Amino acid sequence: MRNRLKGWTITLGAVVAFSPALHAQQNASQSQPPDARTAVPAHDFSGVWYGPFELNFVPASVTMQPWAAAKFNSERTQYKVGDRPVVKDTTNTDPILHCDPVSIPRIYWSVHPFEIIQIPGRILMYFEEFHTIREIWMDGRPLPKDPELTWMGTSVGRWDGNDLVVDTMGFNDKSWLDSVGHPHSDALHLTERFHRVDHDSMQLTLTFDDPKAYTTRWSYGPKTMKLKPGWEIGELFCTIEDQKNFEKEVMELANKP
Amino acid sequence: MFWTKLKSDLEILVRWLGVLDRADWVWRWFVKTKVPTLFGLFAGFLLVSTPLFAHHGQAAYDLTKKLTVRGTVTDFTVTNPHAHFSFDAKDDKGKVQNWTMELSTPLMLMRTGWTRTILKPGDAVTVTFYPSKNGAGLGYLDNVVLADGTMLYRGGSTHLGEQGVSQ
Repeated sequence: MRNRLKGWTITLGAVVAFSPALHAQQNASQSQPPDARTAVPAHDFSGVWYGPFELNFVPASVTMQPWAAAKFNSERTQYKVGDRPVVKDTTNTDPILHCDPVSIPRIYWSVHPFEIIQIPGRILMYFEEFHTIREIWMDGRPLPKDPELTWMGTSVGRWDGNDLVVDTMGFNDKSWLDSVGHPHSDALHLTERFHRVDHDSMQLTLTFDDPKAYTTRWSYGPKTMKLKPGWEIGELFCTIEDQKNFEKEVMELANKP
Repeated sequence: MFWTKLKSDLEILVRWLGVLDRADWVWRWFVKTKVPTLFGLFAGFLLVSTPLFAHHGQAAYDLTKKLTVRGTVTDFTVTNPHAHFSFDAKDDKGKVQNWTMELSTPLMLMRTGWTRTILKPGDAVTVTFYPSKNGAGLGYLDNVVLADGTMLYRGGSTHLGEQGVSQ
């Protein structure tokens, strides 16, 4: 009886001992020791990145100022997501459909990837979506006190440990904050924190501070983006001709009563 | 005889490990604390995994209806902002109907196995899609299977192995 018990204990122990190894076989990359290929790069986000499409950056708990809520209700397409408003019709007033620029942060989670290019004193972001470039000043300059209002705003960045933190102000108020049509004002102060998780992934957390349009600050994320080695940014311009053709060949069918 | 021995061995082992003595409170702890969390996580997962669609009137599609139809390609247009292809298929009354399938953008299609000539008029295809609510013959593609068995998806982020939304 003692021997049988011993035998079972050894067998059980062996099974338990070897199961992490079985897991390691299935998740080989996780159990490999860090090397040049898998180590977390320092102060380096270079490469082509891709995150899943994200629709809505404003949680239900955040309230819009009255003018912003009125704008939101009058012009966005409504989507049904759980208990959120039901889609009414296919009329769409999305400004990017007539080729207005897609601003940050909406452009991060478009269908298309973007490339981060680090050069002395600046970090450039080259978005495939409508061939958009955005620069982040890394030379220590502060945010301008009275910036010219632009589609992408003016961005300054710094390293916080291995995280990249970017502050942007000076947005015009013409773009949608996100794909469901949340508005923002020209007072928006956007903070982005990029956190390199490992060689192949990073997390992006956004903090929105726009007292002219919203009654509170809030954060969105962290959202994971993956490095796409081998992907190259292709040319994609927004042209009125393309939009008009799309309208003719697809939208008109969709809008038929 | 073997199974009786096995059963008695296991009982000895379990008692030896003292598991049975602890089993009851472990179970109660699990049910009280972990099950509600797991349920909440599951419910939350269901909520966020609902298909979400963006602009361009994806609102037009009936996302509760997924159809699979066999047909013949009549057109394949690779252009921005959305590529599309059309195909003829017989409805259940034998009448030929032409469908137009909305795809992702050309750049994303090329990253997910498509080429500009992968569909040609006359090709036999099996198409799975969400039809437009107005019955106008428009569809939001889920996938298309070619005659040689190749399966192509819409080209959006979902089928790149990322979680999230098909665009």
